[in-house]
Amino acid sequence: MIEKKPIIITVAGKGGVGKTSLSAAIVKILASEFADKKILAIDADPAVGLSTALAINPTSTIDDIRKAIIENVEDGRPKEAIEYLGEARYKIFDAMVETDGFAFIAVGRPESAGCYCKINTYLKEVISLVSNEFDYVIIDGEAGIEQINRRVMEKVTHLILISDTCKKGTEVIKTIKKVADDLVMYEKVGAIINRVRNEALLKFVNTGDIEIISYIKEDDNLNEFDTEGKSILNLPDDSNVIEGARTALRNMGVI
Amino acid sequence: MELFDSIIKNTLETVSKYESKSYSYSEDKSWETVGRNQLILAKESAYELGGSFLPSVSYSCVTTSESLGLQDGITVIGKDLQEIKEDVPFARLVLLETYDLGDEQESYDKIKKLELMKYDSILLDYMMRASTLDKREQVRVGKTAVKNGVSFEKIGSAYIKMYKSSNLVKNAHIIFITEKIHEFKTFVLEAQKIKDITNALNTLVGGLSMDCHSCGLKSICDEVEGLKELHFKSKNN
Repeated sequence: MIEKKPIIITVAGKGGVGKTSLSAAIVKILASEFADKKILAIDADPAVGLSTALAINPTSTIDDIRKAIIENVEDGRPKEAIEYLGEARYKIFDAMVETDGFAFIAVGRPESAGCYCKINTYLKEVISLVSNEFDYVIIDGEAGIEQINRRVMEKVTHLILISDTCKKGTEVIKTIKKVADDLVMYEKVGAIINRVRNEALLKFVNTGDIEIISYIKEDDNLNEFDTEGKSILNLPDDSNVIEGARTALRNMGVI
Repeated sequence: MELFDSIIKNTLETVSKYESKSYSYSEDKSWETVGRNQLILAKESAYELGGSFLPSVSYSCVTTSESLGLQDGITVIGKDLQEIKEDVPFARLVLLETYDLGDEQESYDKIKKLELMKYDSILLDYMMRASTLDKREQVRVGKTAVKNGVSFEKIGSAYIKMYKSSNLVKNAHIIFITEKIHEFKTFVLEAQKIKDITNALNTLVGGLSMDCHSCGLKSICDEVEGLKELHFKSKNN
């Protein structure tokens, strides 16, 4: 049997630059381009904003699974690895929300006190195993890429770094790339400069060795949707965010 | 190894109370297995066995006793896979007659091996997921599987083939239930008892208290004939 290899896209960047909206835009684009493919959206941001952007109401998270397994570990007796994996795989489908176009899962808040590395490792293993059964996986990440590496996925295929025109934002994505380089965890990387209000400022934007794959102007449609709490899935295709995300995916060879 | 015999007898007695269909094991009829996990999304699924919070339970238990008369075969209570149109309750109960399993630790290891074999056999367009904590087993049956004639006879044969491949199993009887019979709760209790007995076997080697009054396994030892004797035999060796 030919080994299926999913396209795994992680969206990362400084807080407040539009990661979640762009992650949702990517889900929308892929779901419309590849209706017959299996698409998984993973909300790896503890703020769990992607669910709102995608109009999903998850009832549980990966962290809830972790807690449930910990609570049920019987008097310290070690279990077989396959039992942990089987249990995590069983529960992960309960936490998964399925829509017509894509499936969704939230990682939840970072683990609380106590070291449960073994269980975390199995959960990460199961996320990877389940992800491998999809064609496209989109991860809306925390600001730091190391958390994704530690809690969600060892490797991704496409790392999309988001910044606005501010120097702080571009410095953050350079740092994220450096960490990702050290972790050897991606195949392609590109930057999106989001929320561009003044094109004259673009000449000052310096992303170092990260290729800029899309510039996206401030999106009034998105601002309106955000304010009203509407799903980004309903954002018109000619909105700046959707067009910009499409350009980025095209430049990375995803579509 | 007769520790599970009362559970096997109770299971067979319960099954005999209901109208059922029986099939002989046929290796040739085994449903196709695949090498890797398969994802069946809701939109690709014809229905889910044990889904939608419906009752669901699964267990397997072993005996070396020929007197129970276990034969290779499949029993189905309720609708078969071609007849089901929506999510239904689900039980998969596995009764295995094995060759001698050896001493306590060997028995434990082999019983666990047989229990965990369900994770190894991945059936085409039949996505099984099981929780040992909840004793549940749920299966998404793909639309493609239904179209291609999947049945419990074929699925059961694939499982029996798998169990027999272990070289530990003489005869395997698989019971599928897709009807809401009131014994589901009893089956869940039996599943817990199987787990307790199996764990007790492992603990025998771990060094137990010889004082039954202070031992955490007293209740299961009192209930299961032969377990206490095994414990003391193990201690004296």
